[in-house]
Amino acid sequence: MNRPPVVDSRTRISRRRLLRGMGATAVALTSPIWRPATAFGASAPGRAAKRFIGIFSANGTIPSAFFPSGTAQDSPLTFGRILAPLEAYKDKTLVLKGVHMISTIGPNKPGGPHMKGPGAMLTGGSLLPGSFSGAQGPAGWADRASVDFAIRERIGGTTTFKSLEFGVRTIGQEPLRCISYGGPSLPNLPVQDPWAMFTRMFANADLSSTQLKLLMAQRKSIIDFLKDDISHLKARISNSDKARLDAHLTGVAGLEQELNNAANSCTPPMMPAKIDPGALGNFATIGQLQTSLMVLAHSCNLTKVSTFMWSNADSWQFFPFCGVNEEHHGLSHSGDNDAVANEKLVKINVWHAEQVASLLDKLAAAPDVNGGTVLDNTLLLWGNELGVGNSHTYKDIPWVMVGGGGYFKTGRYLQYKDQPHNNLLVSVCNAMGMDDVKTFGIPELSTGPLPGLTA
Amino acid sequence: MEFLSGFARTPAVFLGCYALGLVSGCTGTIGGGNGQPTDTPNGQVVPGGIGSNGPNGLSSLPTAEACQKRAIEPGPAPMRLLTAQQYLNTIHDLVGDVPSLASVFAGVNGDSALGFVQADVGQVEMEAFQKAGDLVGNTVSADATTLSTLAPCAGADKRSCARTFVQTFGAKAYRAPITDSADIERHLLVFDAGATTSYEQGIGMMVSAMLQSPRFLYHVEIGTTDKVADDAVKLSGFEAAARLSYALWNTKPDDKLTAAAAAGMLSSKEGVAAQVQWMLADARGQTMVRRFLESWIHLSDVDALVKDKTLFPQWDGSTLKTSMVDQAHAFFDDILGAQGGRLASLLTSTTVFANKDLAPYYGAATASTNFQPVQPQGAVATSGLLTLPAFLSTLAKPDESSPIYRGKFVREQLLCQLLPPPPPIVPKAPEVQAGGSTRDRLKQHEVDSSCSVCHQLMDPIGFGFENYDALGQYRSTDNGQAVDASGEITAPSDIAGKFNGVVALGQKLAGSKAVQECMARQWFRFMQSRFEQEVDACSMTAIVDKFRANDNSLNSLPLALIQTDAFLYRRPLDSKVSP
Repeated sequence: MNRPPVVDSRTRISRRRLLRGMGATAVALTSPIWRPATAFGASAPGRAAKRFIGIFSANGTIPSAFFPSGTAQDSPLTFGRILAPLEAYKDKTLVLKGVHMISTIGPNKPGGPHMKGPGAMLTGGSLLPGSFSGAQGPAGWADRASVDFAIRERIGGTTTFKSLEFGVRTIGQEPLRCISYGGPSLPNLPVQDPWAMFTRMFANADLSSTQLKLLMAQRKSIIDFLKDDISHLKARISNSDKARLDAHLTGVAGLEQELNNAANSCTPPMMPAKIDPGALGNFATIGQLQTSLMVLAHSCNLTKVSTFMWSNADSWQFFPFCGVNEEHHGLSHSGDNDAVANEKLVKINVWHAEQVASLLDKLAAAPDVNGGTVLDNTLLLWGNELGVGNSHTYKDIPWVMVGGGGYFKTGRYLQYKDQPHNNLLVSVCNAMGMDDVKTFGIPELSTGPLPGLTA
Repeated sequence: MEFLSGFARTPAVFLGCYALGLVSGCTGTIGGGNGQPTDTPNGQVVPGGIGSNGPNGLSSLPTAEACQKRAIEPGPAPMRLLTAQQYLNTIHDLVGDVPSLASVFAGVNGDSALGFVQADVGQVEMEAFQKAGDLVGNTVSADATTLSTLAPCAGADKRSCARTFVQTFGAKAYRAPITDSADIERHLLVFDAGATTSYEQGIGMMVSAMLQSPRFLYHVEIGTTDKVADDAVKLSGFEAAARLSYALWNTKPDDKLTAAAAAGMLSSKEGVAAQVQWMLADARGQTMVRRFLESWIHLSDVDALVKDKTLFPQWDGSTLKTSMVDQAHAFFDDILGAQGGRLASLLTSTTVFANKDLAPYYGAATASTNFQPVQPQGAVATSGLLTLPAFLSTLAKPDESSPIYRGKFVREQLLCQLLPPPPPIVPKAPEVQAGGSTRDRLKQHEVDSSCSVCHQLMDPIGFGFENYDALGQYRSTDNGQAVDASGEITAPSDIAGKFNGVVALGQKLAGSKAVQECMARQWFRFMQSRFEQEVDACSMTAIVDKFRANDNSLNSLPLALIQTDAFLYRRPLDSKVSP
């Protein structure tokens, strides 16, 4: 067996490259490599998004209720039943068909179909071999960095957190639970507990400015020690272990960034009394809480990049709050002609669209420190691990994009002929002002941005 | 009905077929045999290990004589983080109890599905290390007694006291002496920053810093220049001590073991082996084989199991879950103690322990909350682990048994055979008529050859467990039909053939050479935190031979492992292959 391709040297966003970018951390934080999106490349000011939000939901869709009707390659948007809750944002929305997750397909690609999707959705890559077994086939984590990570490395250097990863009941085998990756085997697992996320976001909010100053001074001395300590240790250990220490050093840089940007302009909100974030019945409530925190993270400028997983891939969630008290994955395997089951699946997908609409409402109501509303400056990408649940197809993933800061010509339904989703990820990077990104994920799959998207 | 798949191991199989793979991708070929596990960045490998699964399911390990002539080969030993439990145990040994430390660490460094694959650290982990380090540091600096023990300082030269502390505490925290003066000085810069407030503050901050150092957080090994083969060197005494203590105790070396290391007593194979007996007799070592078995069957998953409220109202809010776990402890203690640890006993023992919650399982009655041996009544059959309620409940669905999960456990965990992955795209799910027995409904998948090609590897084994429901309770009927517990182990296997019921299955498994070898493999994986590879062939031979020579006693496994090349040595830093 050949060694698996860890990262193709031709990949634009490889871990090696990112880590090199991170290497001289002290320099990085004071030198202008963290350019604001609008200053980078050729994008005209006002024609790029300044914030990115990636959304995941599970088990595919019901295409007939998701995709608008009609066969025109490029048509004005008319929502089907599933996306109807987004009606107020129709002018800002793009629905894409014919964009496939081809990077999950190929001989000897490890992992079952539900495992492959989340690993590929934002990376444009595949899963590594590994020992996460079970019915879904053995696999490891994804083999490269995801698009949210590429974006945060470009625009995330001035906020408290480079990125924040939210999730609701993301359980099960590891690769099912993660869409965000910093590199091969570098998962950024979502935080599922909103109270834990709140503690992260507002860690020092109860300190006086004197106390905060003291804490910052003390933490700085420890961070300086750690950087020094790691560099000395790195000189003594094997080459393969050095990569692990590089990841650790990146983490120390993250702590340093949190420290340097610790002053928080927002007053922490009151959190409700704690309930169990892992309980099946709390899914909707926890989801709303996490959504509110994510909006706050952006409006308080704690971060510019976030992802949100509505359950793990292969979701076994029940949806009594939309009248479907049945298990999602099981339902998703019903036959195409099972009208009763398909109606239930439509309801589940409508419910998810309602959650996205609720997020958009909040983003539209939140003023952005950059001016305008947070939504004005945000590109939201909503994807899924599969096209349809019962066939596990990687084709026609139900992609939705909202916003984009004026970079895309929105309000349209675009039907492509077999485009790799790698190209969609290139378009996402370009919309974030990263014009230099020409391929994303597995380079030989990626031919450039999706045609016909831009304004 | 509520359904929760909270544990990583159990697949989301929903009545079988589509989730387990069919048609082209699933040829019915069992993996695990090409002998070429694949290295990935962190030294992770595809499971399957060495040797080949021929028609009899046995691998072709080299003989001990052949191994005598081979060069020492330790295999890869990538740097790993302490597990959450190791972190907590080590902190406890360093500074004593730290209130609420475990909650800071909840969800961090958790074991993965198999406990081996370790991702690089993420930001959430880094924040947890920081928070936990600060908490421990503040606890130490606020407690005069702890402080006077760890960092006494009577004189006026506080920095000198701090210097002593770096060396004494650091040697324990890093599991290696600190002698380099520049290294000590780096630590003292942190002390200086805190000492502007107070001596205590300076010490507390150094504690926090040291506990965030990779030298504390990872199992750091450099090795020595003492070559035992072209591509193998001895560990330093302190590294050998750390391997021993984390393997046998799940925590750092104590003073006695550290003294042995400092005295050079761990520089030989015999010297290392000489530590095993007293370490296993120590309180920290007594539960280690049991810990292996409980980790292997994922006993801790019982706590999160969801069962159907209507069918099993006794599940939620009662003491049944805890009792099941305690019963498993009692069962394993009996197997490893009174029954001498034999593998055959693990699979066939008829000694049953029950308290008031579990007595009804065996037609017995007791009011006691303590576990006592009981005699099963009537038709209730018992066969060691295979009929343990905790085991059977974990390998079941919320509302019914699962021949798939149970057959899969036998195939993967007892025979060490890897099932093939499903194809990327599955055909439409077959229509399954509701009602009837679990067995009947699963049998409907046999008509579809694309399903049965993989399911025949699991389901017929799992059918042998059909006398036990979703809570592991004995039953003679399922949904009104008499239970048919006839089963079959299909090839490849050295025990291929038909059997009837779980007792007969236990007998078959107890007589299987493949199961013996598999237990040795599981042990290797548990102790070395990685899968065995082709290069580990002679390490595996050594373990299997010693296991068999000791009547397949599980209690012989710790010493057997500790004398292997994989445990005793490591590849040099300049190794041509990955160290």
